[in-house]
Amino acid sequence: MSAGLRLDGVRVRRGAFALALDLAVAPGEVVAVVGPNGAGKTTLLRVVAGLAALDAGRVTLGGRVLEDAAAGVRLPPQARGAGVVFQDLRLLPHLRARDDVAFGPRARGVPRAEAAARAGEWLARVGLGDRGDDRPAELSGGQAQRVALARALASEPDLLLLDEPLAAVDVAARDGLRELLRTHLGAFAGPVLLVTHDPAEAVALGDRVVVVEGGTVTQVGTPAEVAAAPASDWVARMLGGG
Amino acid sequence: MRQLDRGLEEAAATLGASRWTLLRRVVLPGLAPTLAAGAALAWARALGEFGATITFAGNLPGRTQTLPLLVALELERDPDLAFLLSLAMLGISVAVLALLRDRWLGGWRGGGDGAADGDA
Repeated sequence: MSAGLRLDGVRVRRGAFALALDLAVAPGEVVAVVGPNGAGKTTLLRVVAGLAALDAGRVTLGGRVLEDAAAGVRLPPQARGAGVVFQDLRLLPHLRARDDVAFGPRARGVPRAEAAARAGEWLARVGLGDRGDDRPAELSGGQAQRVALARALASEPDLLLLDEPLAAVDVAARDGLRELLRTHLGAFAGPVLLVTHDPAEAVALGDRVVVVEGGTVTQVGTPAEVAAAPASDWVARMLGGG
Repeated sequence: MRQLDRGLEEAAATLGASRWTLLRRVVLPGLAPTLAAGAALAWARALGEFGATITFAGNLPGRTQTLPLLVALELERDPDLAFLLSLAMLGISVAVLALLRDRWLGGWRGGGDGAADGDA
């Protein structure tokens, strides 16, 4: 637990909306955060990644303080060691897939040839060994999603954050990608925070499911517990309907 | 600069990019098409502008003198040179059209740059 991610008394206000929660993710654990649109899930990821500021509370990773509102400590995104897969992917449009995946290692000072080799390995691991020369516009939605995952993992992060990693993918490619995610999230040594609006996806990918509604946690449990006894009407409806 | 996607900068920052790496590998490549279009427009003006320049900016060699202004001047002093310069400008215009025809007809990535050379 000592190397895990902890959010203590985290508060973020944005206009009328307020996010307020405590959360702990152990190393190697995949916590699936699920909730309706506007529940604050993406805000939660942005806070951990350092892209949005806390109004109160503390975020620590393995005892290292990433942010402490009371003490005025706030590490920039570059110093947090968080690999992020954004919902809209954000692949760099002018870069070939290999260069995009090599971006993280290069930015951290890995020599060009070694970074390119590492990028090639990661592309092969996500099943895109032959698409290294393609630019984002030449990739399908599923392939772009795989590049985004490879890019996040290639920077050897201490922590992995994924925002709706299956939302932009068509149904035909979804099963294969879910399996790929399960494999790589399972192999990842650090804490993983995965955000989704689909309880079925949360149950399939999470070791633990955290339901967030209206900015607060309404249920925490194993996938089986949440599926068997959903605490909120929304989860029950989504699982029943799915 | 404002048009550039903040999201790409955020993505690069989470990958560990310093301010300098951000500028060099994300911001400038994103601006390149815009800079090229600006340069092409300025160049097209230099080849084509006459009335507005001589009215508002004058006719200062090396500063506000465009090619057509030079031709008009040389027409008074040395008609042969003026004729030669006109011919060169025509040649440049035709060469630009010939070189870029594939880009315009082939639809290369939107091809925003170079589209303003027509009135040269």
